[in-house]
Amino acid sequence: MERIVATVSESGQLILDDETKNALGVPSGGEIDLYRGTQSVELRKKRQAMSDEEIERSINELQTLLARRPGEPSLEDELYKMRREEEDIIAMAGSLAGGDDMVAELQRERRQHRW
Amino acid sequence: MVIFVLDASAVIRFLDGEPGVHEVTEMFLNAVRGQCRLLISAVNWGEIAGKLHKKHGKDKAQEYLHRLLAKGLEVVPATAQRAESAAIIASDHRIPYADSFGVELASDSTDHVLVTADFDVKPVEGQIKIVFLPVKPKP
Repeated sequence: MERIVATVSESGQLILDDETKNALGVPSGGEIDLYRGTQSVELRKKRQAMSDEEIERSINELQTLLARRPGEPSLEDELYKMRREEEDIIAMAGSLAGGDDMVAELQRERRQHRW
Repeated sequence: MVIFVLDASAVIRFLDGEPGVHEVTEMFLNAVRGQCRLLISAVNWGEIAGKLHKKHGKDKAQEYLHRLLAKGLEVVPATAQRAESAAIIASDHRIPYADSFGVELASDSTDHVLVTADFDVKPVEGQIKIVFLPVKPKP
């Protein structure tokens, strides 16, 4: 018997079926957003129907991915932090624009110290 | 894994939103995703600190320096050995001393790539990998 336990959307959203969610302890209605994380590349391969053996292996891999080791943030925590950092990077880009050419100024200063 | 060595000019272009901002933004995004590393020499880090302090004041400078570090930017100490090597690069290639610290750091391995908007490092092109950010159009 074959069934799909996990798919990954184009945006990197990992979508699990209910049985797999239960097996992994993912809260009802909870989804795991891998958001272009490196794992999503591997999980994309699981889009197609898998054999029982592959399902078991896949669940084991997912359990490993989602396991919270003592003192370590969960994958979801890490992904949330990463998302926040990404948003902050985008917010920082160009945030100090002021019309001055600071690079030209830097270059002039550097050239004063040319040997 | 690619290791980008950011020159002060690259970080300033990123913050200023000047040409090269998209390239550097992408590098920072890839760094937080664990797909590359971002390094900067302590000398070039000091240049950024100085510029931010002068233009935007102490508090804002501190805020931005902290935020940059939180994005995975690693400041590499300018050790005595690195300073000697940088001085030799500056002398041999007649490039400004501060620029030579980025060049020296980018010489660490073939995975290292210098990212700069400062074309004064042109003389070492061919000896290390360099990404030159786009030239700012003249007004």
